[in-house]
Order: sequence, then C-alpha cells, then structure tokens
Amino acid sequence: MINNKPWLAWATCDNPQTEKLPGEWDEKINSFDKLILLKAYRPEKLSFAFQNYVLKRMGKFYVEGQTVTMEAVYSDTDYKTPMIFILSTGADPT
Amino acid sequence: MGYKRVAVRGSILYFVIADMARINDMYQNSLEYVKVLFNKAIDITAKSEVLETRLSSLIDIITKTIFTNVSRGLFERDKLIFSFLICTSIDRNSSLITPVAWSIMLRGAIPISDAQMAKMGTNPFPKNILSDIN
Repeated sequence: MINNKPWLAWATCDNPQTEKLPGEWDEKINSFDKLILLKAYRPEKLSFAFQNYVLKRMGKFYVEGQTVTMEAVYSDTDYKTPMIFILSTGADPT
Repeated sequence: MGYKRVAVRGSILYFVIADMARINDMYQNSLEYVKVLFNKAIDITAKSEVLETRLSSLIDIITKTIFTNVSRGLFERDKLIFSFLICTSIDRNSSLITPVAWSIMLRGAIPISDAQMAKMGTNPFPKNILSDIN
C-alpha cells in the first residue's frame, strides 16, 4: 500500500511546481512527466510550470518578454510592409 | 550530412508557427515569411571552420530569430504557449517526450475502472486525478 500522506502534502502545498516530489519520485520521472502530474493535481499552477520547463530546457531568452525598440522594427518596414500598432484600452503613447 | 539537423529545426519551428493560427486567426504566418527569417538567420550566423560549431550556432540563431520575430506579433497572453510549444516540439522530436506522455498531457488518460480504484485502497484523491496519474 502506498503511503498517501506525503502526496497529499505535496498536492496541497502552495507551490507544487517548485516543490520536490515525495520519496524517490523526484529522481524517478523526467520533467515532462512532472508536468503531467501537476496537471492532474494542480492545473492552476501549470502556466508557472510551463515557464520553468522552457527556462530549463531552452534558457532565459525564451521566457523573458523581448522589449522591442522602434529602431529594430523600423528596419523591417518598407513601402509595402507597414507597421501597425495595436493599443490596449487606456494606453496613451503620445 | 550534418546540415540536416538545421533543416529539421527549421521544419519544427515552421509547424509550430502554422499551428498558432488555430489559437487566433490573426496568427497566420506564411511559409514564405518563415523562409525569409530562416535565410536571414543563416546570413547573420557567425562563420566557423568547425562544422559542429557552425551547426550549433546556426540552430541557435535560427531558433532565436524566428522566435523573436513571430513572438513579437503575438498577444502577451499567448507568448508563453508559443515558447512552450516550440520547446515541447523540439523535445518530442528528440524523443525526450514520448507520444503517450504528450497525449496524456493534452487529453488526459482513460478513466480507471472501479476494480482498479478498489485495488488502490483508501485514497484522499478524486477519481479523475487517479486516472491521470495511473
């Protein structure tokens, strides 16, 4: 019989996406399997875990928002490639 | 031929970008556009006498260039899913993620029977969770 107590503790803790899994399981399964576990127990934490997964596999570059400068984007435009700004409500760039 | 790896990465990236159109109709990018980015990345990648170095920098720069340009055109809320899809597509291609694991992640598992449920003994977790982890 499996001891459920450590699992219950893990499944109900504040940050299961960074917490170690009970017993030997943290070593035993790969990081994608951990995402599946998390999806089963705590789906609301998945987006944090996705972020950590990308961070671990591919590096910081792919999770940080890339700040765009006008200079960088301007060089991509020409007479038939316009630049379109979509602003959210309340944004005032002037 | 070592360069095949670079082509494979290009194809993975293209298909993730093509799939993004299913998230939002505005995310439709042409193969033509991806090819332009791909070729631009090849031009700016540092040259190297060592094939292995050249290949890894090609893959790195191509992925970064395509990611940056396409990501710029996405709404903030969809940027993470784009990174995650690229990441998992690469891992699925290298078999780090098995088709079975991927399918369970997307659709969940088949519900377990009451007999299996009984075998697990007393359990604080609901049945749908037990199905997914079984």
